[in-house]
Amino acid sequence: MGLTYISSVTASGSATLSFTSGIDATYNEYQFHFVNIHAATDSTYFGFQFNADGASGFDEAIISTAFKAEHNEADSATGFGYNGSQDQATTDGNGTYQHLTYDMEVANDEAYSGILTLYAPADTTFVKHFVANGNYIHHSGKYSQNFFTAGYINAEEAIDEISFKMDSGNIDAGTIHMYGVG
Amino acid sequence: MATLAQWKTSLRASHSTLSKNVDGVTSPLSAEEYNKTIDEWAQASFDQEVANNIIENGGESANYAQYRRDAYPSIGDQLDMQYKDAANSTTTWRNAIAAVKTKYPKPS
Repeated sequence: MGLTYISSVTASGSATLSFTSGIDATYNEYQFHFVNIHAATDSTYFGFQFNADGASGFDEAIISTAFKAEHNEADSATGFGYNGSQDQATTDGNGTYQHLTYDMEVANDEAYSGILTLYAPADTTFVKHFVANGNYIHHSGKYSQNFFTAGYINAEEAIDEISFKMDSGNIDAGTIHMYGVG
Repeated sequence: MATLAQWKTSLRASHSTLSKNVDGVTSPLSAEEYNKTIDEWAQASFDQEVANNIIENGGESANYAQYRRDAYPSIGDQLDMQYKDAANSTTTWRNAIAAVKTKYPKPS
């Protein structure tokens, strides 16, 4: 098994970044690699949503979990715990963007990097699972935060589009690479 | 703190146009997309400002349990407090926990 590069999107003061082609039955597993995603607005959250085949609006039902580990630059505090404000259990048409981060800081040298894996998006029998892990700097107190989220899109239809955005403000910079695994 | 309407006005002023990148191609948002995005950003900014104010200054919130979890001393520190309280007949641990519960009260 190996990674096959499919395409990339690069932010430049972008409200949203999306892949609307290339997610199909070619691979049973797709990976999205985030490289230095930099928000334009302080204290915001970076997230993703999907469209099922033929759907629009990026509001699929998502059932998810979230937790994070953290350690500050001053080496004086650590933490680990479930992040109940970042999970969701929504219904079709009401799903919100699933966060890949908690509260991000956006100094010039700060960004988010990580990987999101989407499994079997073209399957029409099972719900579609995803798992993500990434790191960034929390907006308060210079914490390195390692954020984990996983869940499923509660749809039997194929998933063929994905969108990324900040809760508030543009994505100032950064690149997302899409790979097929197989 | 700014009101929701003030956030919308401010965001419209600072972002007269917005763009998106789809499959590597950049294009401007449609009027409908622009208005929806500004509304979402304003709501998120307003909510975040309210949350940050509560985290800093305390107050009632539906997220009180999350705020309490983030504010409680670590388990190690709490055990240390309890040992010292038992040895010295003090109430350091009880006071620390009570302070967090008071700062982030459960909504009635």
